[in-house]
Amino acid sequence: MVESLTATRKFQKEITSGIASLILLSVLDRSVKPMYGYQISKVLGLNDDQAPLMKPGALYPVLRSLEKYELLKSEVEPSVSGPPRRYYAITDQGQQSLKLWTESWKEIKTFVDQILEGNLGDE
Amino acid sequence: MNKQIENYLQQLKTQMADCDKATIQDATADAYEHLCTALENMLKEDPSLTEDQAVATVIAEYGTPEEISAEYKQAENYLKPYLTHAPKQDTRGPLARFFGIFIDPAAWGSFLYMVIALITGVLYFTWVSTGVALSISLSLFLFGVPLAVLFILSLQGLGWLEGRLVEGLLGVRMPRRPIFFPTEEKWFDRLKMYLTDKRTWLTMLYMIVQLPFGVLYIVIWTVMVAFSLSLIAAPFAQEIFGVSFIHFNTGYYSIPSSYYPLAVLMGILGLTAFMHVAKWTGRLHGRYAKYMLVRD
Repeated sequence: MVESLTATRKFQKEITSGIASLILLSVLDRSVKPMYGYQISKVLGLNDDQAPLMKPGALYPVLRSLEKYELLKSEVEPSVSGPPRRYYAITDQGQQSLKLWTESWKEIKTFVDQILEGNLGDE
Repeated sequence: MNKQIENYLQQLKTQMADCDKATIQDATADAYEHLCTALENMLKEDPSLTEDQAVATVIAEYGTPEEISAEYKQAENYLKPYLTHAPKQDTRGPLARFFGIFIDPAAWGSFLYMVIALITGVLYFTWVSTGVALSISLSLFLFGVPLAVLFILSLQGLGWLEGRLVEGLLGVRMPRRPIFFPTEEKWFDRLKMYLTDKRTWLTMLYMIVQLPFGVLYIVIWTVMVAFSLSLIAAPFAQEIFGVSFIHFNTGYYSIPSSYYPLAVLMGILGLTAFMHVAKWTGRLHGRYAKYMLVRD
């Protein structure tokens, strides 16, 4: 039981780390204003009690790599209490990538669905 | 800072001990920002919680130090600085390796850095000497303390900026986030904290020393580049424009035409050699900058 749980968790982790970039780009694309890490984790419901697919802490390295590839840009703003916050916003390049990635996500999704439903090959 | 958050950050640092110092700094800055914001919100939403309870929940949600460290390590693999000095084996022959320096981005990065260092050096030096003088003299009055704190904050900003420059041009991984100190309430306590922090002094020293470094670099740069280019241009200048190679006091000295090929060759060799010097200077300066500006 414990072993299958670990395997399940590993599977979830692998899947989410693959699509985390797509999720983050999409969230920031829909947002009117730049958002900071905690806000994004709130929107995604990562702070809920039930074990989320992704830890809030895992968002930050992904945000950072997206910024490095210039799909996001960020700005630091001081906050009234506590440390300054880094606000992230999507770039034009990010929006283009989001379109492409959404397309490939749809293709993958259809493909996996077909396999899971056993519909493959009987068109 | 909250004791539990401080412990968490410490554990994260220990967990990431084998990582690049700059990555550790990024990871702790991210964690610190998130935990403080999450804590603040949680206490607002449910005022019945004690701070200790709230912090424990927030930390548990964020992810264990092991998990977070693994995520950063994974991301870091995709985030190597553009001009990283690749340790891959160079299979080219010695001649190709020597002249191949002209297509080496790391050499051009350092080449540019040696020029920019004078400009940044002057700016840093002016800022630090003015800031220190003002801070010391005005601390006699009460309003001097916030001014000193602001000055030290500006130093952290400058240090971060220099880090971006060093990473971009010299290919040494530097923090992508400025260091955040915990914000204490009293200006005087903050000042005391900054003044007892090694980072403040090392950054200040770096800023001051950057001026002599900048001067040294620009002198080497100008002499080497000008000398090499003039050797290459000498035959053309002498033959086409009738300008002699050396003007010394009232004397004019020209290169005999039989030495033209040698002059051009010397010029090309000098320029190529200088590109190697630039690359090594850049590499050394990168290491030195990292030592001075990135601290645990």
